[in-house]
Amino acid sequence: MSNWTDGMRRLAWTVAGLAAAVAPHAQHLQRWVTATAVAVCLWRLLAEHRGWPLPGKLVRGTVALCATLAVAAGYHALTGLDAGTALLVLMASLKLLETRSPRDHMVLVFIGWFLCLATLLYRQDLVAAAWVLPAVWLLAASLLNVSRRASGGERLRPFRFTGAMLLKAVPLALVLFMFFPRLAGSVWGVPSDEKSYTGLSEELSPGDISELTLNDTVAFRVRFDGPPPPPRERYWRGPVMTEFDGFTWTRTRARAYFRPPVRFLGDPVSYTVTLEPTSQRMLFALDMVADWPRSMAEQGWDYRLWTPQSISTVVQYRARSFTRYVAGEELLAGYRNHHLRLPEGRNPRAVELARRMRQAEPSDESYVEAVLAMFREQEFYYTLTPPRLERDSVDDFLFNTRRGFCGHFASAFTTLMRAAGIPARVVGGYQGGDWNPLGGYLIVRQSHAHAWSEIWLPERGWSRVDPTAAVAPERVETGLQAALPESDLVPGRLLRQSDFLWQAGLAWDNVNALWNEWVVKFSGEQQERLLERLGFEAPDWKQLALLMGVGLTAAFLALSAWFAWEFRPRRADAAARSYRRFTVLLSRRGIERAPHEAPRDFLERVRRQRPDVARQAAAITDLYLALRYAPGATRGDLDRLRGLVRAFRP
Amino acid sequence: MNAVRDKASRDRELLDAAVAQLNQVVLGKDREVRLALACLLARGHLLIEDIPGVGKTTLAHALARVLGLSYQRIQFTSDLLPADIIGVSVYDRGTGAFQFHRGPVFAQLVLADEVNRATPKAQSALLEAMEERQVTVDGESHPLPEPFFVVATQNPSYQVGTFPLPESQLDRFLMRIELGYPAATHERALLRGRDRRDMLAALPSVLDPETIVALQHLVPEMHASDALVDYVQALTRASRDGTQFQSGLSTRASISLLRAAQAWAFLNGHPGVLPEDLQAVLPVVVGHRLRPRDPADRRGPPELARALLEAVPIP
Repeated sequence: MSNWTDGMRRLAWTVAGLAAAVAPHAQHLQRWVTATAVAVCLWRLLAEHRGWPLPGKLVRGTVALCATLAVAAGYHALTGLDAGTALLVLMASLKLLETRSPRDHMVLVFIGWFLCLATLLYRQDLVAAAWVLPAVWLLAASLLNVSRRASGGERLRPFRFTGAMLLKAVPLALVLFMFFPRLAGSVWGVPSDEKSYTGLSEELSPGDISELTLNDTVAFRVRFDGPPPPPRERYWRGPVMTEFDGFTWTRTRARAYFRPPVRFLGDPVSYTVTLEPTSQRMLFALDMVADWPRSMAEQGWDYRLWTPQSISTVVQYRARSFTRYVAGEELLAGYRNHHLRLPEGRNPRAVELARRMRQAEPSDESYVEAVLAMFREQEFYYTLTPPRLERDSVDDFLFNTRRGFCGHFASAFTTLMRAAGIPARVVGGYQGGDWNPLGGYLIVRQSHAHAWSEIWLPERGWSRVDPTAAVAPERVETGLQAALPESDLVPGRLLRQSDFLWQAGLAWDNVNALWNEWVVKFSGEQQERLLERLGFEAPDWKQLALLMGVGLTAAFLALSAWFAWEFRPRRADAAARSYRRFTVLLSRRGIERAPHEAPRDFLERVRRQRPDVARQAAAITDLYLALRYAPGATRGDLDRLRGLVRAFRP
Repeated sequence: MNAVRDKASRDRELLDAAVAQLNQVVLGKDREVRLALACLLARGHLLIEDIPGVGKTTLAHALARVLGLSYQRIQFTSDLLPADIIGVSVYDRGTGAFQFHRGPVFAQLVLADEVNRATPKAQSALLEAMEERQVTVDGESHPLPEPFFVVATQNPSYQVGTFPLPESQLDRFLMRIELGYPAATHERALLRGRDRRDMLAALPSVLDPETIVALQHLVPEMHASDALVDYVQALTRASRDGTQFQSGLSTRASISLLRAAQAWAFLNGHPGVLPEDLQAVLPVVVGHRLRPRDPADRRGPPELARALLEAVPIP
C-alpha cells in the first residue's frame, strides 16, 4: 500500500468514491451497464498498476459512441431517469480511460455526487439516505485526496478532515431544509418513470391477490387521531371492479356515472395516511371517506379516490371517514344495470344455481345470507395456494375446486348476486393492518391486500359483504396468518412467531415512518406551521425565498466580518504588500525575485544588474526588513516605505 | 536606551574581535567560524564533519583560547569507556568514602574528537551529558560548567572503523558544519605561515565565560517577528508533507532553527531576525536532520537543506 504511486493512490480513491455512488443504482440499471462500468474500472486500475498506455482519442471516441448507442438501444431513450442514469454511469466509467490529471479526477468526483443525487430521485427512504451520506463523504475525501500534493501522512486524514467539513455544513443544510421554499408542481418534480411497484392492480383474476400477499412491504401507514377502529372495520378502499368477462374482473372505462350521495352515520374517524409510491393514480381511504385533500384527489362514482398523477413519491394526506354510512339510497337505472351485467354464456352453472337459490328465498337479504351460509357450511376452503381454474372460473370454483383466496370468493359471490338480480361489484383494497404500539400507528402491508364484494339493496344502499369472512372469519378479525392453514407459506410467519423479531421489525418500521413524516414529507404545510410559530403569518414562497436570502446573506456577512477581523492586515503585512509591489516593478524590468529569495540576496542581484537604482532599492529593502522583522517600527516608517515604492521607477 | 545600544555595540565589538582572532588561525573559514560562534551563543553543540587534517581540531582549540574557556579534548577510540568521559568514583582510604573524580567532560569547551570512532555506549555517555548539562554518577548529580559547549568532530562514515551517529543523536547537535579544503591562497598562507600550535598558544582571550553566559542570555531576546515565525513554520511544514523527505523536522529542530537564526542575527548586529539570517543557518541546522524520501537519493545534508529552502516561498 505504502509504495503506491501518486497516480495509483488518486485512482484508487476516485474509483472507490465512484463505486459507492454507482452501487445503489445497480438494482435498477440494466445488467450490462453495471458490468461494463465495473470492467472498465478494473481495467483502468490494472492499466495503472502495470503502466499500460491509455487508449487513444479514436478508441475512446468509438467506445463512447458505442456506449451511447447501446443505451439508446437498451432503454429506447437517452433522456429520462433510467436512461440518463445509465448514460451517466457508463460515461463516468469511460471517463476513467482518460483520467490523468487531478482535474479529471475532480470531474469524476462531481459526477459521483450527481449520481448520489440521482439515487435520491429513485428513492428517498432511510436506507437510501444511509447509503448516500457515506458515499458523499467518501467522494469528498476522494476530492481532498486528489487535491493533495503528497501521499504521505495518515491514510484516514482525508476522512477526518472532510467529515469535520461536512459536520460544519450541517447547520446550513438544516436551515436550507427548513426554509427552502417547497414549490408546488413539477418545478422540482421528480421525473416519474414507468416503474413497477408491486401493488394492487386494477383488475382481478383468480389468484392475483394471493401473489401479493407474499409481499410484506409496506403499502401505507396510518396514524389515527383517536383510537383506531376495530379490525373488522378496517377496509381500505382501492380499485372497484364492475366489468366481468367470466374470468377477470376489471374496472369500467365508463366514467359518466353520477356518484350516488352518501349519508354518514355515527362518529367519524380522523387519520393521516403516509402512502408509499405505487405508480398508480389512487389514494387509499377507510370506508367510507368523507373528507380528504380535494386538491390531491377527486372521488369517483364508485367512491374511490383518484389522483391526477400517479404516485411516484411518498405522499401524505389527512382524511376523515365514517365506518357507518348509507351510500346510494337511490340508484339510477343505467348505473343499476351496469352492476347487473354478466358475460353472455359464461359460468352457466353458477347462474343456474343463483336462480334456484333466489327462488327458494323470500327476499334479497335472506338470499345473501343463504349464499354466505353455503360458503360457510359447505366444503369451501380458504387457502393461498388454490388450484388453477378453468375458463369459467366461477363454475370451476363453486363446483369443482372449492379452494380459494379472497379474490375467488369475492368473484363468485358477486357473480351469484348479479345472477339473482342484485347489483353487485368487486372491491379491491386492503383489509386490516399491523398495529405498531411503539409508534402508535397502523402498518398496512401489501400482504393485507384483500378483495370483497359490495351489493346494493334498496334503502340500505351499497353495503359491503365480505364472503371471505364467512369462510375464514379470522382473516378479518386477526389477519391472514390466523386464517390460513399451517402448511401455507405466509410471509413473515416466522417473524410473527418470534416476538423479538416482530418487535424489532416494528421498531425499524417506526424509524422509517418518522423519517417519512419528518424528512421526506416535510411538506409545505409543516414548513408553514414552523414559520407561523416563528412569527410569519401565511408566508408564500416568495417571502420564504426572501427570508432565506436575507438569512444566508446575513450569515455570510457575519462570517466574512469574522474572517476579516481574524485575518485583518497587520502593519507588517502592509509592508509586505509594498515590498511585493517593489518586486513586481523590478520583475517588469526582467529582475525576477524567486519566492524563496531573501530580500538582501535579491538586493545584491539588483545592485549588480541595475546599479542605477541600487540606492533606492537598498532603502526600500532596509525599511521593509525593519518594518516586517525588527521591533519598534512606526507608522511613519510604513508611510516612508510606501512613498519610496511609489517613487520607485526602475 | 542609549545605554542598551552602547552595551549592544560593545558586545558586537567583542564578538567581532573574537572572529578576527579566530580568522587569523583558521584561515579562509570566516563563515564556519561565525557559525561556530553562533552555535555557542545559541547554547547549542557543534558537529564538524570532514576528513582528518582540515583544521577541525584547530578550530575547536582556537575557540577555547579566544573565548577564554577551559578546554578538554577527548579522543574517541573504539575502546573508550563512558567513565573515561564523565569520570569515576574512587574509594578514598583516608576519608573512608567514595570520591568522584571528574572526567574530561567537566570543561567549558569539550572537543570530542572523532566521535564516530567510539562505540555507541561511549557516544551516548557524551550525548547524555550534552543534553542534560549534568552528569549523574552513583545517584549523585554533578552539574557541568557554564557555558558548556561540545564540539564533536566526525570523520565521514565511509571510513573504516566508524560507528555513525544515529539520527536521534545527530538531532542533539544544533549545527553540523563541514570545513572543506582551504582555498589555494589560504593553503599557501598556511604552508608559509607559523606553526598553528604555536599561534594557538599565543592567542589572547577576547572574551570570558561570564560575558559569554550573558551574551547567551541575550540571544533568545532577539526579536523574531510573526512573519519570521511564519517562515519557520512554513519550512517545517514543507519538510513534513512527505514529498521530499522521509520524515519531517521535529519540534526540537524548528526551535533550534529559530535559536540559531536569532544567534546569527545577534552576531551580525541585525535589529531583528531577518529571513536571510534564517537562510544562513538553515543548511547547517536542518541538513543533518533530513533524510531523503528516496533511499537511492545520494544528496548530502547541505543539498537537502537547499532543496527545502527553495521549495518554500518566504511568507
